[in-house]
Parts: sequence; C-alpha cells; structure tokens
Amino acid sequence: MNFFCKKHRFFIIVHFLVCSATIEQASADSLSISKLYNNISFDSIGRVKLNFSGVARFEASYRNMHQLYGGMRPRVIFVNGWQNTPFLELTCRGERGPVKFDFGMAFMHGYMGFDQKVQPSYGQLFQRMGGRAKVPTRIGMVELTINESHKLSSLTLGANIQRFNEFYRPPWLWYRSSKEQFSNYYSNISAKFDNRYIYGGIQGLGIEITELPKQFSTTLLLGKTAGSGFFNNTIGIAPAIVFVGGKVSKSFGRHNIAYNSSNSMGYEENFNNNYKSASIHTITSEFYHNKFTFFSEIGAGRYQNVLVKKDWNPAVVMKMNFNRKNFLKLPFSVQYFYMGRNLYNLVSEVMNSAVYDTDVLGLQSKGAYDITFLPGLVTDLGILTNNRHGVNTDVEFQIRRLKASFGLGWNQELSNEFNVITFEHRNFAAIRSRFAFYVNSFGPYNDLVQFFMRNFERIKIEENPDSISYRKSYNTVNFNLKYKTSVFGRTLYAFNFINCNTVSDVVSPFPIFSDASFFRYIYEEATITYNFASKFHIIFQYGYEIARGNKRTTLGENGNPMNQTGVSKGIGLDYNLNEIASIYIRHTWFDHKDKSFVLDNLKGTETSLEFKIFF
Amino acid sequence: MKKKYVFILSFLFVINYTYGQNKNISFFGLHRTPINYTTLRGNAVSGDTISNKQGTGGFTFIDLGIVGKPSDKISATAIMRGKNEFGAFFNTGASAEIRQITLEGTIADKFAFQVGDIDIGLTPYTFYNNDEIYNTYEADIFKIRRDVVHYENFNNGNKWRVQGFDASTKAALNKKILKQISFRGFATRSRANNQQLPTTTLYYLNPDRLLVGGKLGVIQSKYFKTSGNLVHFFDITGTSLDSSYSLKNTVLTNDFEVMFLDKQIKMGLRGEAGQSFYRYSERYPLREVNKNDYFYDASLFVKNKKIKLEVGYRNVGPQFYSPSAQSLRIINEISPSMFPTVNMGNNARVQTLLDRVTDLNIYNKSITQRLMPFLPQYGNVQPYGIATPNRSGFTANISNTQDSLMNFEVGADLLSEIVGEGSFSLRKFTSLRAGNQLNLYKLINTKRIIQLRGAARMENTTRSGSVPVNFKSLLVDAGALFEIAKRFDFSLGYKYLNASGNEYLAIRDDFNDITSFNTFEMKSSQGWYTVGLQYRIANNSIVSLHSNLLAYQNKQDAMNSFNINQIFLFYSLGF
Repeated sequence: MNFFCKKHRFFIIVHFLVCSATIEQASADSLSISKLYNNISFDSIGRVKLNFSGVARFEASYRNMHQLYGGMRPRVIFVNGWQNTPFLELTCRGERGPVKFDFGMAFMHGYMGFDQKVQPSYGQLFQRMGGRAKVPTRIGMVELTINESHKLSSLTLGANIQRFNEFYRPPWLWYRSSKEQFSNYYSNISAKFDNRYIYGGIQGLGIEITELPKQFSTTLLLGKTAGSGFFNNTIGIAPAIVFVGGKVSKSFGRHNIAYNSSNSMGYEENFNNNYKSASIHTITSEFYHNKFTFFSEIGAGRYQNVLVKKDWNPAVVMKMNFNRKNFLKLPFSVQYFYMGRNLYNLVSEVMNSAVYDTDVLGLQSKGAYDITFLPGLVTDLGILTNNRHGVNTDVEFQIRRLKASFGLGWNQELSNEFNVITFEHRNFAAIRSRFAFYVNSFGPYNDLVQFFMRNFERIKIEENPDSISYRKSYNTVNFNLKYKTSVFGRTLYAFNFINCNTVSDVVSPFPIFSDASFFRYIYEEATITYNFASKFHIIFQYGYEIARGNKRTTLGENGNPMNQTGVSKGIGLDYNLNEIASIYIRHTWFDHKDKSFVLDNLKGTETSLEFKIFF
Repeated sequence: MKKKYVFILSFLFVINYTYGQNKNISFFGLHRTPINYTTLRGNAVSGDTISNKQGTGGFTFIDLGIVGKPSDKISATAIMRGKNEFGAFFNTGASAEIRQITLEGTIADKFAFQVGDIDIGLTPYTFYNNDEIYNTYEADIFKIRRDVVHYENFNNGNKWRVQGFDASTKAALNKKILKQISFRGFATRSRANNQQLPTTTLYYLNPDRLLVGGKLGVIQSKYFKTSGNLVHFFDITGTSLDSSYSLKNTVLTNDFEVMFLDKQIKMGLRGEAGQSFYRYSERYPLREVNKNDYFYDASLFVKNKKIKLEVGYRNVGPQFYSPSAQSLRIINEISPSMFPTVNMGNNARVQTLLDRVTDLNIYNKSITQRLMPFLPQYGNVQPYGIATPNRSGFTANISNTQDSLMNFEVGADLLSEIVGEGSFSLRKFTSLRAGNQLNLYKLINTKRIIQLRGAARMENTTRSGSVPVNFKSLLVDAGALFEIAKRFDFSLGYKYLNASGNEYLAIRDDFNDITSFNTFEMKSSQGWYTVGLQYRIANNSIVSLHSNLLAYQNKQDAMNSFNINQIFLFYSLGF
C-alpha cells in the first residue's frame, strides 16, 4: 500500500494535520524543541525516508524547608519538575518527493504510584501533538502547520524572554554535554536569554508561504496561543478561534520590511456576554549596514472588553546594533521604545504591567491564577512592557579571555496607574518558582507571583493615588563577566552576573541607591564550572540578593520597610555518559530573610537528579 | 475529544505498517479483544427484578510500543494504549493513555539501570508479589483467562510494578576468596501526596510514600553465596502540610545458600532470616506504635538431574510486617464487577473462582501498609504468602527439576500459630498439595500436543479451646489440551473448590492491630467447567472461544446459590 503516491499526497498531509489538530492541549514549552535536536537518519525504506528524533528526561528533586512558609508544605518531592515537563518527546520527520513533513508528541509521567485512594495509577497525558508539512507550489513554498511554534514580530507574536541561571537546568536544554553548554554560554558575550522564548506556540493552523515572487512572503495563523487562554469560547465562529495573526513581508536583498498583525478575541470563560479583544498591528523593518544593523517596529494596539473600550495606543521600538567597526571599536547597542498603555498582547514579548484584565464584575480575570498582570513591573534590560518609554544601552568588550558586557537601562511610566511595584527574585528563582504553581497571591503576605521558573513580588507604595503627580522611573544596570582558563590542563569557566534595579519618583540616567528610591534591588550571581575529568563537570554557584523599600512603601511589623537578604549556595555534578546521555546532580542551600516582614523568612535545601537522553 | 486518539493511533499504525522495524526505532504491540456474554441463574436471582442477570462485556485495546535505541547501551520505551469498551459507540467509550514509559541501559558498561515504570522483586520476605491462588497446574484454558488480568494488572511473575529507578552492578573478584560481588539499589514512589495543583491553600492529608531498597550479594564460590536485602517503606512527613499519619517500615534480611555436596547429587542448605521494624503514628488522636519482629526460614535440599526434595522449617513472627511481600494481588472485600448483587439487590454476590480469574476490577496494584483482609476459602494457611506473619512449622516439597514426560510437584506445610489470635489456643494449619502435568505427546511420539493436567490442594485449619476453629477447603484442578489440527486446540478445564467450617477473621486497624473478629462460617462448593477451541495464529497470537459454566452452591443458604454461564471470545495479536 503506497500512501505516498501522488494521488494520496494530499490525503497524507490532511491526515496528519487532522491527527494533530484534534489534540486540544498544546504546550508552548516544548514546541520549538524538535528543531534543535539532531536526528538519527534511517535508511530509506520504500520511497520514503523518515527521521526520528527525541529526548527522554527524568528529573527528581527533593526540597526540605526548615520551617513553614506561606502555607506550603515543608518537604516536597517533584518528579519531572513542573506540571507540564515531558518525560518523553518524539519527533518524526519524513520526506516524499517535494513534500516534507514532521510531527511530534510529548508525554508526561508524574510517578504518582498506584495507590488507588490518591491518584490514578498511570494516567499520563499526551502533552503535545503537532506537525508540519512543506509543499512546493507554483506560487511559492507552502508550509502548513498544526500546533507548532511561530514568530511574527516582537510586539505581535513571540514570548517574554528571560535570563536563566546556568546552574539550574531548564527542562528543554538541548545541549548534549555540559562542555557544549558552558562553552556556548562563554562564546556568546550577550547570550543571556533562552532562544526558546523567541517563539510563540500556536494551537491551531498556520499557513506560511515563502519564496513568493518579488521576494514577498506571508503567514496566516488561526487558533489559540499559549497566552490566549483567557480568551475562550468565541461564539458564532467555529471552531473557537481566539487568535488570528498574520504577516506580509517584502525583502530587498538583505533588508526587509513587513506588516504584522495579532488579534485575540473571545469571551471570558464563565461570562459569555463578556466579549474581549486585543489587537496590535505593526510595521517592522530590518536594515543592514556594514557598521551597524537597524531594527524597528512601529504600530498601534488596543484592548477592550464590555466595561472598557480603550483607544488605540502607539508602539515604537527602535534598536541599533553597532559592530566593532564603529568609533568606539566595541560592539554596542542602543534601543528606544515607547509602549502605549493599552498595548495588551499576552502572546508577544511585551509584558503586561498596565492593563488590569477584568471580567464583567470588575474582578481580576481568573482570580488567583491570573499571572499575566504585573503592575509596575521592574523590567530587565531590553524587556518591553506597556505604559512605558525608555532607553537601553549595552556595550560588550573582551580582554584576552575575559569577556564582559555592561548594560544600562532607563524607562518611565507614561502615566501612574498603580501604586505598586513588581520585581523579580533572581536568586534561586527556579526553586522559588516551585513553591506554588502559577498563582498571583502566594506567600505569607500574598504578594508573590509564581511563574514558570520565575518568581515575582509586589511591593505597595502607601500614598493616595489621587494626590500623586509623579510617574515612576525605573533604572537597570547589568554587568556580566565571563572568564575561561585552564587548571591542571582542564577547562575552568567563571561567570559573574550583577543586576541592579531601582524605582523612584525622579528621572535619573543611573540607579539611585538611596532611600530616595521606592525600591532598590541588587543581585550577584557567581558560577564556576570545572571539567575535572573528561566526562565530568563540577559546578559551584553562589547567589546573593538584596531588596529594599523605603518608608513610602508598606511597612512591616516592626515599622520598617522591606529589607530582604537572600543567599543561595549550590554545588553540582554533571556526568556526560556519552554523546547522547547525561546525568546531572544539583544541590542548593538557600536562605531568605526580611528583617521587617517577619513571616517572610525561609531556609532550606533542594537536591535534584536529572537523567537525560537524546535520540 | 476521544476521536483524536483514534486518529493518532491510526496514523502511528500507518507509520508502523509502512516502515515496520528499524535498527534504531522499533515498534511492537499487542492487540486484544476479550468479549463475553454472561448470564446469572439460580436461586439467588430467582424472581429478582433488580439485580442484573445477563450482560455482554468486553473491550478492545491496542498497545503500541515504541522503542528508541540510540545506542546499544540505552533505550527508551513508550507503550501507548488506545482502548474501547464494548457497548460504547461513536467513541464515547474510547480512551487513550500511556501504559508504560521506561528508560533502561548501562552506564560505563558497569551499571545497569531502569527508570520509569519498572518491575521489581527481591525475596519472598522482602519484595514479592504472591500468586493469588495455587495455580501451577491449572488447565491451559484457565491460564488464557488469567493471563489477560495479569497483563492488565502488570503482574509480571512475582514482581510488583512500581515507578522509580532501579540500578545494579556486579564485579568479579579474586576467585580464591570471593568470586563475585553485586549490588542493586532502587527507589520508587509508591504514592504521591494528594496535592491538587495548582494551589496554595489546600491542606493535605497524605504525604508522599516511598519504597526504597537494595541488595548486596556475594558469591564466594559455587559452595556458598549470600546476600543482604533491605526494603524501606516510608512516608516523608512534611510533604503534606497536615499529615495525619506517618509510616516507617524497614525489612532487613539475609539469604544464603550453602552446598555440602555438588556432584551428581547436590545437597545443601538454603534460607533467609531477618527482621522488620514497623513504626506507625497518627496525629488524631495522637498515637504511635512500634513493632519489631523477626523471621527465619531454612531448608535442606537434595537434588539430582531429575528430582528435587526440600525440607524446611520456618518461623515468621506475629508482628513481622513486610508490605511489599504481604500485599495481596486481589482485593477480597469488594464485590465482583459483573453481577455485584443478588437477592433483589439485598446481598452482595461473593467472589467466585471465575471472578478471581477474570475480573480486572478486583485486582490490586498498590502496596499497602496494612495487612489486607482475605477470604479463607481461597487460602487460609498462608494467605500472605510465605511471609504470612504468625506462622511456624515444617514444610516439604518434592518436584521434578526439568521438563519431561511428567512434571509434578507434591508439597506439604505443617504450620501453627506462634501466638493465639483471640484465644490462648493456637491454630494448627495443614496444607497438602500435589500437581501433575502429563505430556502425552512425548509418550506417543507425536508432534501434536496432547497434555493432561491435574492438581489438588487441601487445607485444614483447627483450633481447640473455648473458641474452636475447624475450617477445611479442597481445591481441585483438571484439564486437557488436544491439538486436533495444526495449531488448532481443543481444551477442557475444570476447577472445584469446596470449603466448610468456621473461622474468625481478624479485623485490623491502621496500626495492624487486631481490633475484633468476624465470625466466618461457610459450607459451599463451586465447580467451574469450561470447554474451548483455540487457534494459535503465531507464538504470541491466538483466537479462542470458550464456554464456561460455574455452579456455586451455598449449602447453608440455598437462596444464595447461583450458576454463571459464559461464552467467551478472545482474540490476541502480538506484533
């Protein structure tokens, strides 16, 4: 039976797309992973060649806290990390003549045991099912996708980017050896962010046509996105499409200009009369010069529901990346951005710090589980958020084996909407994030917001909102050092990262480390890795964090403002069994204390064992 | 929702069909369809307008296994199941699940490991999934039925299916002093806490329960080998915020084998001895119980190429607790899922031989800390296997050592309680069993299989004194298999169980303390007759049609007697 004869080609494509489309649960976490694995190529059988790739990952961790914290359990065992971490992923790619296709699936395994009183015995889930097919046509190359990841532009479809600590291992790390991981981190001076986050997952259909005449290309996306979960049950449109996005692009040699559109629409889950929509339309341009590159995105967006109909607000992002050929003889970049207040796009790189997404009763959507709203967010360098404008600069330099980058950022609210500052705890963030999953009011003071591998905290400014005339001003400094040397003939890497943030009511190009600031934050992170044997790495990590408020913020039980100190010390051992399998052990001692808020006091250890195999 | 799985599996089958096995990715699978049409008749349902009296049941499933083997040293296996219950249309009864995910391989050519869904077994006193009843010589036609539930319940021999990891290594040493030393360690999560994620406010009752252990083995020479075994079954307090109880149960044993003679006749001594340390505490009300007890078991064996004789003595303390060796495979206190009630729905129907061989829903997968209730008619002498607590006495067994014209086994257990339960007098237990398999085709020298099987087990429990006990049971098996055409078999099977007398069944609390006794009186018999045809499509594929009659006779109360008639159609295809 030849499924791949010309007659059946269309059937095959439709068949696997339908297979994929029927899966309702897609995970953005694993969507782009398959692109990064190498394949094992198999012999051609018949007239079709298939490639299989995949990864199996087992992770078990045990956290032991010395006392109760925020109502959570003092001891916790996690198997396979967070809720949606797959234990096994499989991707199959095929090629028949001009048609290329692939599909993948992921499974989770919680190791819940067989006790009938507590958990289903082995109720693991299909976690992901997606696929794509590439078909050359007369007009161009058509790529059809189901439940796969896409990128339109920073403001329309992508995802929040974040920096990860090299010590804590995200589930999707694609490095096959520790040597590769640390070498890669060292090689790229500014490689601070995870590439996974440049994509946004689409649970639905994607049509991309490239190689059109006149260097045009276009993309159309229909479905749901990872961040569009609050837009549900679109009435009158079948199936429930809650995201429509697209792009039309025209290239001029290396240069490019494109129109991008992102539209989320739907009804609040429990209130069918609560229609919501969020749209943003932008023009992006990329210009390449032998001394610099220029990127820009200019557009407008808005948000509305039955209670509020907000106006279109502008969005501007411009960035110049200079290479070494400039007058400084150093690579550096300058970015300017202006994000209107009503820009609300949960599926983009723009974090929401200004739009209070409500239901018809005026309450926060999804209640305690709404983690999309971070009022007054303290952003990292280069991170965009709405109701802000600002400038970010970054310079890189190298002195022999020492690589360094220094970044300075300033941004300010366009209007003071909330008397709240939300900042990120970078110290042992991966551990903190598992204190509770995806909630916005955790902790002894209900002010912690729990993300995937991230942890935020809110601090309130105790002033009458009606009497406020200032707009909060945010300053950020990043200083990153990377050093490589050889000890006893073996490679040793030393990494150091410093991050400082302040929030104040006055405009300043530099952080203000005094009580004049509402909030001050300093984070120091040092990591040393040593390849002491051919297959072994030992890793040491030290983190230190200071977060302080001033007297204008909420005061603790002893009448003083937030005064937090956090320390983490970690040791790890990586054993690369061979080119495809590795074992990773991590142990962390962590300690966090607020001298003013007496309940904000935690101390403990976490040990994890990870075993990973690539196919 | 369900339809999607059909598509997924169908697509995977397209791939499988088209590409079959590959050197690095391979597929395997099992497709099974057991269907039955069953009726319930007899006094128990005569005039009954409430209880179900007939029905058709069954399901079909496809287990598709994918094995990724990127190198000779590592492989990953996932078995996906698509299942459809009979009687459900338009996918309403369809389901899909992951039946097994396992990683396995070797590290540095020295350590073997398994991670995921794994099967673990150690010794009969430490980690052992006991057979549900004596069935070594039952008819093949019953084994087909039993294999279905065993497969569904992950009963792979006498191992328990657990979730965790298992690693082992061994090293050859100086042959003059020590021939080999080996180590094995495992850690599994027997039960996760009943946390509902995501949450911050729920209070939890059940902490995580782990089962860890290992074995350190030494082979000195062919004359002496020994090993230490450890199983630790425990709750991690603090993994639930409001843990109402906490368990710690450790079993530490040593097993050994000493050969006195190792020539044509081999003679030696083997055994195992150890201790359990049980601690269980509850918060509401505050109470903690510690129980430590020991056991020892030694037997002298003599064997040659044809026959083996073993005589032993064992003593298992009344408070020896080894959950992973004492948990039962069948949950005895629940009614069968097929025809659960009789007598206008007023009485629960008792479990019969047919139910215990065919009913998936009464099988147990979990290791429990408390000694589970048992039904004495199916085994009263050692209901929890060899590790049954409060037993001491002699055992003897004779069997042949290799497959021959006639395979047989004769055994006896002469045991008694160590301390009285509810009485100062001790129960005396006698168990005699014999089984035989006659391979007639070897005698008449034909390629067509002709096989006869028969077995019997008789148990007798007595206690004198003010609270006397006198309970007897007889279990009989008989069967025949005739290959009437190539791969086409005609099978007969018969099971009979007669039980009579009185017993006092212990009711235990969470601390395994006996709080009271249920008076148990029984005078019943049941016979299960079956006849069937089966065609062996291949080594692991079969299609079979059986006709069954089970007659249950309650001699104390004729109104609880009933007959079950069942037509059973079975199709199993392995690939």
